[in-house]
Amino acid sequence: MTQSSSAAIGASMEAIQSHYDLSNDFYHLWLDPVTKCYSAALWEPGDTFVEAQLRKLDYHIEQSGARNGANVLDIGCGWGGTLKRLVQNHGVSHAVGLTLSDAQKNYVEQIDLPGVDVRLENWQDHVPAAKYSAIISIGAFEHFANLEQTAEEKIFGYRQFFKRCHDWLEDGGKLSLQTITYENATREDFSPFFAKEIFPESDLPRLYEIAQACDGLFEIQCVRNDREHYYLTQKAWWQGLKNNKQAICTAYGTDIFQRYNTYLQMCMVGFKSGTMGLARLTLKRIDHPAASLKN
Amino acid sequence: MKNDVAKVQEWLIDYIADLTGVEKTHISEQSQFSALGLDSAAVIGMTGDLSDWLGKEIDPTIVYEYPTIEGLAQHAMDAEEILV
Repeated sequence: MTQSSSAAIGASMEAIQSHYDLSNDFYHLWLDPVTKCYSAALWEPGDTFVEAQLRKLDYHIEQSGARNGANVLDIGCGWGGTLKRLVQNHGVSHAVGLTLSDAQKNYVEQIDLPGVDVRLENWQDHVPAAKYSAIISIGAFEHFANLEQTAEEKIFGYRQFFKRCHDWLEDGGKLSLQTITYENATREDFSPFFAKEIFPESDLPRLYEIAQACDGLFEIQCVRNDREHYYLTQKAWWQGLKNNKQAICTAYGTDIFQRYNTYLQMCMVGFKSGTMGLARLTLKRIDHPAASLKN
Repeated sequence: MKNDVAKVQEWLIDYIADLTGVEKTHISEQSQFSALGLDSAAVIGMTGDLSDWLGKEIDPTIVYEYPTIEGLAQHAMDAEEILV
């Protein structure tokens, strides 16, 4: 087990674990049963929930150029949905997953995926054994800043992340990034309920902050805002939660059910009304950054 | 059906009067939820309780498409019945 050795730029390991370590079984009662992804799916008309989640994984794998890669990194690997897809369906021989959740790490280890190495490790502390052919990060960037930081500190933290990714990628390698963003709202609008009870020590980026932070290190090849896709995903989770209300209340208590019932519906409202966006970015490594843009 | 919509409107007016302390006589069917001081958390609580009362799933985002008591009541009665 690797412990964090430096002060976290965004959310601490304890803050992450306060949410994600509630119980694997709890989350698996309402996430989709196949990928167990805790992030926005990518929907096409007629898709089932599982198909939309698999489509999302395949999208990031394609966009990052990870297919048949020798060594791929997944930053914020959750319960291993991307790692599994990489090694079982896309010919990747070795995939490394980083998580700050003990419960998630234990779960992925129990699946026992050949070629997968999962680590309880902050990206700040990661030292790769070899360069990566591709990097994927889905639904982790939301934890790379916190509400206590100034705008400058926030960008600085993001910049550190992109510098690490730049260092770790092979020449011409790509990072496929997915994150919630602020759209028609600011950090001052961040709900106290979210900050206190759902995602402590976390803050969302604005799209321009991502662009500013990766400027000169990565070329932005593609940006999608799929907030309606996150609305559909949150709605599917909400229905799963309600369908398992009795089991959840019995095992985890009514308060937990109510907290997640409110949280998921607030997200549905946020994505539908446009206070939050869902960005999917394809970022290609600039192999020889101009000297004036390196820092 | 018309009577059912009227009943839902009455339920919503009672609910909002109770929640906000605004006199029922000051709440009309054309009142917008935002103008009545309901934030997103209050809207979610209201649609959840309405859903329980009707025995139907009410998506809270529908309030942003039908932002009045009249509109929500009509939509709630038109919604597919799904026991929750």
